[in-house]
Amino acid sequence: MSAKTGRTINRRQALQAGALGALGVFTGCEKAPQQKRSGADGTGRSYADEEYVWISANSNLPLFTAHDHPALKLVGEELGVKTQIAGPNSIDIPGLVAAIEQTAARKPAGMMVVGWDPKALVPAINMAVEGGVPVVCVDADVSASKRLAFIGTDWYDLGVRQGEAMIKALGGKKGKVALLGLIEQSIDQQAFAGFRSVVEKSGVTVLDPQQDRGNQAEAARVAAAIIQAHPDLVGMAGFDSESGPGMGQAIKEAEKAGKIVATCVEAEQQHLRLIKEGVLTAGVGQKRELFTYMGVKALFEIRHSRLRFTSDDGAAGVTPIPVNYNTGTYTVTRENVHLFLK
Amino acid sequence: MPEVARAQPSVQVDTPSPRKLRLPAFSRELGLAALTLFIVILFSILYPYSFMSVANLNAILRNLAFQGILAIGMMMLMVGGSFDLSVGAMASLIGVITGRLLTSWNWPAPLAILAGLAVAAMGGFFNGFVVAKVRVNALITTLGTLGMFQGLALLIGGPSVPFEARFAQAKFLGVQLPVWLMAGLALVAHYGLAHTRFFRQYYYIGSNAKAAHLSGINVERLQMLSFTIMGVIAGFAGIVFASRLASASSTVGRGAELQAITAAILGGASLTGGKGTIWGAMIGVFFMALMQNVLIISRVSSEWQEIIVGAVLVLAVALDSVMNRKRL
Repeated sequence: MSAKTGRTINRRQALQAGALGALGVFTGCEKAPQQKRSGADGTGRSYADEEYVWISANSNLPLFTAHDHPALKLVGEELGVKTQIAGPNSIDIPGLVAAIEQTAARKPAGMMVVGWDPKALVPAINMAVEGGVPVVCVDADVSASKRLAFIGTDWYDLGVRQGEAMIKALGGKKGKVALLGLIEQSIDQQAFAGFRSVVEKSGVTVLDPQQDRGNQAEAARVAAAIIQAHPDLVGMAGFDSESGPGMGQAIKEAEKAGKIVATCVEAEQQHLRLIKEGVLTAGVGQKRELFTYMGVKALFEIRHSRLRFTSDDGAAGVTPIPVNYNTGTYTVTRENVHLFLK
Repeated sequence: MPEVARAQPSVQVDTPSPRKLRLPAFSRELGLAALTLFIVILFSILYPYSFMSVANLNAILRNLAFQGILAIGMMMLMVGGSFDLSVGAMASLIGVITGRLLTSWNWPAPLAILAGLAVAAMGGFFNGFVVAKVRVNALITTLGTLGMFQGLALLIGGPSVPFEARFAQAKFLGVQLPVWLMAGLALVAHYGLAHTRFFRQYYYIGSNAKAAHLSGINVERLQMLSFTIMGVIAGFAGIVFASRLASASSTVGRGAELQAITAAILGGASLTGGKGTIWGAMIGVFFMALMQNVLIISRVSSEWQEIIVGAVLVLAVALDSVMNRKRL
């Protein structure tokens, strides 16, 4: 073997080795197939190819990333199915409609839709259901659609809880109470109604709701102006996740802590710290984790439940899940805040 | 440093003299200042107790400081013919990063703040580099980085991070520190833009970037610098606001970019560049905050507030445009 031939063979060998190495690298990049899990229905079947998609506008909202998304991942692991997050990162309803339609087109095992707009989402949800994709609404409902169930907080009830906390803290004091929230959202409107149903009965005047755009800086600004506008203000109630911290800031800066009763929705760490300081009186928390956790379970049941109500449930339009899941709320006050603080 | 004066005779440039530059912007500022004064007087008569109180004026100032700081940077940028849609997300991100350094890593406050501002400068520089060197439109670039910064803020901070340095809760002469910081920054920026040859180059760039380049102004370098300054100012706003709240929220800056741009335009800036002053931006911010305050004081419903604020903004700018045309 000449030196030249030897070099040629060496080069060829090197190329072959390189090609094999590259092949190894690329095949190594692909994830190994998931371990076959024992199916959640006890049949031992694998459901690793089933995909359940959660779709929302503002899909990276901190509340979602802190509660809804981790629970979605958890339930996926428990059931051995794929879970996916989709939807625009802003309150973009056309974008949300497009996300629903595009997801439905690839025929996932089920879809959870957050009903940001109870009317605009109806055609997209109906199209998905008619196309054979089960859809449940989570967090906010689209009741006029063909969705199979709603899983979330009863916002009227949440308003009632806030109202009860307000009346208790006021202790018979009369005056005006202001409302803050995303006033265009139907869930906030339901909560306002629930709040009014309790508070107005006790002789307290409830002012028209004010828009805080779901933004803490805006909520602080609006709350500060309300405090100045109404010297006889005795309470404030906030109905989106940013209302509470914004109201708390305005109350603190106006040196009205303890003089104005403030209740809010959500019990995140920032809310809890303000409750502990005595700036906010009560926070009504949602069990948000249940939205996606129960959502995937409900969709999974639709596909795999062994319950039968008729000879052909599909044709009869009967599903093996409840139509409404009220995930409930909890109230945090200064007395029990230590249990929630991390 | 390029000589601005050299720019005028050397090439045939449609670059107005400093006097001409100032006059139309000054008029809009003066008009807005007069309108602001009129509203203050009117509501002082209508609501002498709830509106014309120290507590209410304090509340207005306290709550405009965040937008005010952003509007200062935005005005500098808009004078040079650019704008930045990522400032709100940048403010959120820097608040969250600084908060994390303070609480999770136990960094001393000055060091954490400096690190936060350094990240802000890098973010701003990135915007400037893509706009000036890669020549991507500022709207597209900063819309993209808005998403990047917002996503990073959520990734690093979750919903919010405790912010242990509470310097912005301090008061001086009864007014909260963020207001003083905004005023101090406004004075420095005003001096720079109105009285230094270096920053006045932005007026030439904003009026005609090509002509400015031909006359020896390093347009690319100045554009990158203006975006970097904007980044630092946005980061500073985020830190100050987080300090005021003792909590850095990862979404606090949402929508703040449009408010800053609106305030700058109201105060004399033009989307095409070459116009505007810092005190105009300050009047713009105050006017917007005042409008929102008086509508709540006079118990106008939220829906009508949005209609009225929108209509007043359009009217104010349209009136100015008509007056400018008549003057020509």
